[in-house]
Amino acid sequence: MDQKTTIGNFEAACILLNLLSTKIILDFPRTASEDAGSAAWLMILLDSAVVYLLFLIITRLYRKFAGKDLLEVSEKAFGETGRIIFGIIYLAQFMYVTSIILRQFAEDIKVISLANTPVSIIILMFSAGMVVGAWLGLEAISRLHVLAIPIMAAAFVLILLFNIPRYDISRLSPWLGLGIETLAVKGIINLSYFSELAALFFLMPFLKKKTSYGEIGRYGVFFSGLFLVLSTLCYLMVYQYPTSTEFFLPVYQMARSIKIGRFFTRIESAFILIWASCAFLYLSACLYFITYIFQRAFSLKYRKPLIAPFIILVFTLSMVPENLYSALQAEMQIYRTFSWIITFVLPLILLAAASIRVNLRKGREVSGE
Amino acid sequence: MSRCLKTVLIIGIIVPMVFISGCFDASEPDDMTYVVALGLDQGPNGNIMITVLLAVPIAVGVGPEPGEVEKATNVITVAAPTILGGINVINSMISKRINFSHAKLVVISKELAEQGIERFINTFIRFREFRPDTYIGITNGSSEEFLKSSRPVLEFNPSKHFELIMESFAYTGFSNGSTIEEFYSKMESTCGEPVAVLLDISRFQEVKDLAEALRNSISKGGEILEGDYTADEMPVVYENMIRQMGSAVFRGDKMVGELTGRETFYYLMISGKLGDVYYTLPDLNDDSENLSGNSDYISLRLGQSRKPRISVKMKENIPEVNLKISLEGDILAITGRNDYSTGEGLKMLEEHASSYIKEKVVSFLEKTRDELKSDICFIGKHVKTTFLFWEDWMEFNWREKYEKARFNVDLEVKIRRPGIMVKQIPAMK
Repeated sequence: MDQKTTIGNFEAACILLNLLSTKIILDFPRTASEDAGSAAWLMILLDSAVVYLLFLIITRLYRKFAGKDLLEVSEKAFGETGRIIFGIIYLAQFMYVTSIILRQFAEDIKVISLANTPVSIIILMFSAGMVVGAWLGLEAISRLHVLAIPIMAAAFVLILLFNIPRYDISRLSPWLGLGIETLAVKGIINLSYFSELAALFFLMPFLKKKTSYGEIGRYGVFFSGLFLVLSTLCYLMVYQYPTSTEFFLPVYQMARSIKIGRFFTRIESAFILIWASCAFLYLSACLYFITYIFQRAFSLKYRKPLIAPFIILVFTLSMVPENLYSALQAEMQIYRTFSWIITFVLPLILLAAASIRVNLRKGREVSGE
Repeated sequence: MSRCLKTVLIIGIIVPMVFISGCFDASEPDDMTYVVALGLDQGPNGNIMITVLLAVPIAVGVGPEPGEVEKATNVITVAAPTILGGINVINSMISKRINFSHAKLVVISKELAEQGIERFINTFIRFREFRPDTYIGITNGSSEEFLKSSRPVLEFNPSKHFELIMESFAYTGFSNGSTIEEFYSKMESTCGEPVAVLLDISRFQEVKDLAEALRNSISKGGEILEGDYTADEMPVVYENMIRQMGSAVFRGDKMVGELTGRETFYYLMISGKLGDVYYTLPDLNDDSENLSGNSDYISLRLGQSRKPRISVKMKENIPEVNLKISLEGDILAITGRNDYSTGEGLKMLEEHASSYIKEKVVSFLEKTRDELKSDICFIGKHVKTTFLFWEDWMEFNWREKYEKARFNVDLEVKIRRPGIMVKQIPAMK
């Protein structure tokens, strides 16, 4: 059933945009500011530009393999073993990020709203939503994204607009923050902010127009880059460095401070609703990709029976970090250090190797003739 | 999957939502008691005295029925080493649970403020029940007495009472409306220092005390205009004894001095936060007296025509601060016989107002530099924008540099309207 599913460009772009931008409502602007100080927005701008260029290169290399997901490409490059090995690598990446983000969302909800609810119950509730999403499949997930993304984007923009009276450009100074060297070094590691771009490589077979992956990716990177830069820029214009490194949930903090007249206050309650929707969409999509990658890596006939074991695994993994800080560290120090390699370097290697093998095979066929 | 199984599954998911939502975090507003204001004083043996002013909703009024002002609030004081520890003690003895989500004001005694208030501010910022827009004030005496003396007269709702008082700075210019988030952010800033609202209990019970106090202040320092006071000195006799005027100035988290209401007006002016306020200045003819022989004054409504422009140049390691302030206003009243509504008179009034306010602004800035050593106007941020790297900025040490700053103030007042009169014909002598 899944193989017959097709999704439009806009749907695919919405999934990509949500996967790339969800971190904004988590800890993103703060962690960026920790890395680059007052120039965090500049680092993210440069990262966005680099990711855009990298994606253009990947798009060019992918041209020969339009409509094939990355596992098919890896099979072309290194055979069945290659498909299984790279399948496990991408599976591990999605499993890791999903469990960490699931834990973060649950902890965040506990801190800001459900203070007395055990974190395991909150994770369980999110898991139920993830199971429903993954069960209904990509079509349902993509349609929900199309409905929700414009609303969430508008809510995000409104939060930024309502904060305008508090913006002060001088808070962005010193303009190069913690220094050019730090910007460059941290900038490379922080390419990982775009690591969810890997999802596009697994959306390829589902696209209605197989050749439009480049367009989807470019729009996804552009708009997510725009949102990431805007969120960092606006956050730093409200909370200057080093205060900007203190708030646990930057955008929530910005929403909390909105006060327009004496009546229009406490809009963070609406924020929590949007925030939970965003989390459900992100996590459901991730669980879908986990089961899809496993199915493809091991050439299994059915995907749905994998949902139960994987949600148990994700749930268990999300309970591993001892506390919120450990969960944040697991993301910042481990995931972010390596995931940019998996998202950008591995596909480049795979595509280059697959292209060479295809050309060699073609050459052999021609000479054989 | 069969249609029947799907339906059962969907119902199985939806129905529990109705029953299990909020089962762990269920809280009835009726089970809570809401703090309107919190007071902190120095307590014995390293403890702090925590005073909470609680709203009594039934006395505030239910629906359209007005309540009883006298019974609208309740004050509890507890000694504990930490704020939330003290709240726990109070929770154990009252029937409802204390909640800070509607707190409007935090009052800290001057004694504590001079020791440093970082430890309290951290609690307010970290604990999610405190709203970032809760106002912060410092009182010379005890904050417990301050909260006990609060007797709203024109407002039933104690929460709205504090909120409206604190917001009044926008049309009086005598206070600063500092909130805990603003204070925290400024306290951690490397290019400026925080201020808080200055609060106190009036020392005047009767009108005769007032006359005596005014005589004393005039004999001490010459001319005294409205706003030339701090909160406790305000020459007002009023049923509600709490007063708000001036600012408490900090260096980091420690209070280092006070500003009067008028000085706070200049602070707001330089910080770009000035609303439209009434401002009185002496008549430009020094010898001007009205028919009864008293000095003459001109009252203006003043506001900013544009945000102040501040630039800083470093000359031999000394910051030279250039301020361009543009104000505009209307004439509200002229008590003397001279008319400044039109022509040459209007021009003279503009020049007089400009030079008079400029002189006061310079003396205010010098006070922040010499006496308070605290850049509350955030002039430092204009220097910070000239730096590229954080390390260089930290080495520059703006705080130290500010103590040597020189100020060049260019202030212009434009009178736009003369009120609803275009000229004033003097009465017959």
